Amino acid sequence: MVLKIQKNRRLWIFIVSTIIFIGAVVLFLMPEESDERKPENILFENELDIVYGKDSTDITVFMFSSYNCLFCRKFFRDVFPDVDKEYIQTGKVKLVVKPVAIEKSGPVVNSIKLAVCINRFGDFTKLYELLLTEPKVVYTDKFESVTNELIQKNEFVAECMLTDMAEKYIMRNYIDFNRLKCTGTPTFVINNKIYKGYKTYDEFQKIIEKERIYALH
Amino acid sequence: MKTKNFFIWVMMILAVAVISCDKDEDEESCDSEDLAADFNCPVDVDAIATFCTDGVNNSYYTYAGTDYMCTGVDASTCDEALNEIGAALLEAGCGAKKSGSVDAAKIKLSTMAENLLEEVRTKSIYE
Repeated sequence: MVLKIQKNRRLWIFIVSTIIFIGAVVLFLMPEESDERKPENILFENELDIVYGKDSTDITVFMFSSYNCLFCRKFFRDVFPDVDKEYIQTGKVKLVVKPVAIEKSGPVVNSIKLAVCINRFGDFTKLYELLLTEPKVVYTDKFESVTNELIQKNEFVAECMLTDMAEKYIMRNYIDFNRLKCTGTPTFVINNKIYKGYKTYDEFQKIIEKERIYALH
Repeated sequence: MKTKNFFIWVMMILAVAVISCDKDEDEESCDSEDLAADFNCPVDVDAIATFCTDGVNNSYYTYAGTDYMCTGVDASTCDEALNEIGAALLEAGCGAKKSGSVDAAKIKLSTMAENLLEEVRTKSIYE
């Protein structure tokens, strides 16, 4: 009798451990959710996006970014120049930057509004350089006063800043950011596939090459 | 019977091994930041903090061997962590608390930033 119970116990342990093992193997082989290419991950360009590159490229890289985010700045400082040289200037890749802000108002949001409006209706070069070099500038009175001056100087910038044009755009970016279940910046979306976090140039290059092959076939 | 027992143990160990290997920890990126200028530190105070993020779930600062967790992934969610580092730096002999995002008057811009801001004012709009 004792022997029978012991035998049954061992049989159960064997069955349970086999099930756990098979389950674990299946779980291990399943792709992670973020690795999936989903049609609902689609993003569209907006006239206020900060775009680098031409339309006739192999792939479009969407980037959710913030100038307040250390690794976004690191990407623009350390990785972007090589990406620009190798892929954007050669017409292989278009980079579409979609700035996001978690706050609904305040200096950061105003700086993003100014960035997208100046990029659309003026020359973004110096502002871009400033935001990368010294992001805390957006909290200063001087930055606010320069913003007001630029608004007064150009009617298109004024319209962009003072109507809900830029505000709606930033809000839409935030909605897209949440819709795609992004948790931080930078996040890249290529061919409906999400790549989260900072990438070195080598990592970015591998992703681009893989996505170009996908897009061309 | 011994073989069967051995087989059961091997299966269980394999199951545990596979489960524990299933989710790799998110790869972390780190970057050093010198907070000396922000906190007005004397030259002999090491004010280099390291900011690390996995880009997905967690970010934190490390200063003097202590981790200061952020509330989110972005560097913008690290105000509290920076305040705590600020307190540690003040104890270490630095002169002033970090220019926060709230008090605009206290923010000290570098000469380069001042010059760039001037260029933004004059060169951002086409005449």
